[in-house]
Amino acid sequence: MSAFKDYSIRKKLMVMSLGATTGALVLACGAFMVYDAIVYRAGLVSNLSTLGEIISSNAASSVVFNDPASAAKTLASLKARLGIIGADIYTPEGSLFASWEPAGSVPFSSTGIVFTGSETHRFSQDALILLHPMIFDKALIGYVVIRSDLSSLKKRFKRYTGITAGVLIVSFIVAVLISLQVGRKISAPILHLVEVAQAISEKKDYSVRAKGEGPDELGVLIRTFNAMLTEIGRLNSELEQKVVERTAQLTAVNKELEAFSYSVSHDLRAPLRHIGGFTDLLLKNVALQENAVARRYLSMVIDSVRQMGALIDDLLSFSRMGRSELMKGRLDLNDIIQNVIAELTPGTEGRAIEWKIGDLPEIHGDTAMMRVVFVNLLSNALKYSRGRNPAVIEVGSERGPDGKTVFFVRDNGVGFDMKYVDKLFGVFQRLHTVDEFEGTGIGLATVRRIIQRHEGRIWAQAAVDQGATFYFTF
Amino acid sequence: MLCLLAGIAYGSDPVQPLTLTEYEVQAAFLYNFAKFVEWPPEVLKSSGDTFTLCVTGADPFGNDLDDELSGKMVRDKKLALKRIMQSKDISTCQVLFVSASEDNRLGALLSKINGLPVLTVSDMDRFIDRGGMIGFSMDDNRVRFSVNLAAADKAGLKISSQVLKLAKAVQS
Repeated sequence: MSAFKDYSIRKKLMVMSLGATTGALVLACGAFMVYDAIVYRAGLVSNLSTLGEIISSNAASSVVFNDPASAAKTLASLKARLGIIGADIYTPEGSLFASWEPAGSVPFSSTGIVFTGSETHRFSQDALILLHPMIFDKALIGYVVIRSDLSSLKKRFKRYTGITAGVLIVSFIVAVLISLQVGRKISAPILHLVEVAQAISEKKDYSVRAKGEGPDELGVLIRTFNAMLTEIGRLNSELEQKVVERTAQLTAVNKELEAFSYSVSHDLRAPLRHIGGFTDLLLKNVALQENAVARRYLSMVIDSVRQMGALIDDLLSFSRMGRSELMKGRLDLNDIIQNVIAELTPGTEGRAIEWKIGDLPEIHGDTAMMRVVFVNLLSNALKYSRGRNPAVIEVGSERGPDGKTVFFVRDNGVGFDMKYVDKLFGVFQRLHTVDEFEGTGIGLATVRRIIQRHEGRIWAQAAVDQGATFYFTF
Repeated sequence: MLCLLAGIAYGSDPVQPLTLTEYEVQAAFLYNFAKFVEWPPEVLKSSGDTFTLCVTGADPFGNDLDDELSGKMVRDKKLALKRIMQSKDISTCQVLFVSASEDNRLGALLSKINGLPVLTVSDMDRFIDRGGMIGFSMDDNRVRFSVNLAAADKAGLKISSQVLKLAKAVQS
């Protein structure tokens, strides 16, 4: 029965109704059989008692006139009685006076009979033994002992068992039919509800409605379920509407902002170029050749102009990566990486660098943008492994847990503390000072933007002084 | 007494290896007859609270009758024993045992009792043939009895079928 809770509702209903029916029937039949057995036994005793009384009065004279033959004749009159297997008359002292048994039956022994003044009876394995005291003229003159077999009781028990079994089988079948019928009426709406709920949860179609709004509790359940569906549908569409509105607003604002920052950056370039150009001219001015302080100040201005120019370039690039059309095609990452490395090598004279480039699969993407990704990641790797001898930079791919190819760029540089990992890909976010490592803080933000536009994901794993690994997928 | 009778039937009973004399058995039978015979109600009414058993002629019982029957009750009456010599006392008897010594005077005796509700019993030969009601005889060392139903009827006595079925012979 421990598996009962795992049964389907239909099976539970079936088991319940069958269990109740069978249990009730078995109990009822059992009680009836026990009652009948008690009543029937009492009837047997009463019958035998009557016979005892008759024999007792018919044989009284035989006993008082000491005529055992006549007494035996009286006893023999019992042979017409069904089930009687013997009768005896005993003297008050318990010795046998007269006896009768059907021919061929086993002689009876009086051992175990307790001779008392009142009538007693005893059921043995297969016989009922009744002792009836013979009272004549107020005096005890002997005892009649009559034995009856229990074949009628057994026959009756057998017949009742048969009838009970028959009734049980028939009612079991009827109960099965009824519970099938009733169970279907109860379980069908529930099963229907389950199907509808599953369909909705899979297809997210809130326009579906459960059928069968009857007047009972199941009907109420289905009505409530449908009402909830209506509510969910309404809320869902409202929410979708809101999301669409908000997204549109956000997109508009974002575009505005982008356009603004692009034009600002773009417009800043011209005055900056002027500052740079005129400062350069000033530096070359003969009048200032002797003034070392002025020359130092001017070269600091030029440095700042160059730095600002780089910043503006990066910002424009970042902005472009978000706005320009994707020119997607098949591309060989191995080629791109070799190109980027070749491009970066001039800035690494005097450093021992070990490149470990794995064989990367072809991907589908924008070549120019992919180039920007690797320029940023590889130049970062070079930059942050500056103090290592040799600097080891690894590029490869592996199969991720979801079956997608995961690319990685690993270095053995200074790494970073994982608690700052959230800031890593933000614009202008830097984990190191400009004094330690130069940079604008826009590179990784640009990389993330490109990866996201390729519907990919980028993340990093690192520890302080243990190097850093950047993973990304498309 | 009854126990003793049962004892005879199974003489091998080790508890009571008794052999009763013929007259001891007859005494017991006399008492039993009193129980199985019905007298007209008015007779019992007029007899007061005693039931009288008479013996006439030479008493063959000796003390047996007194020993075994004194103090017993019949139909809620006290059993009384009487030895009678004169036939005029017969009318007070309910049961009369006629001794074999009265063989010669039987005719006169019976004609005197004729019509009276007195149960006559005897062990003399051919007692019932000669007008007596119950006659004892010995059969294989057992006391048996025969009944003259006509004689009893004439005296207004009803002898129970329970007794008749035990009788060796019944005349009617």
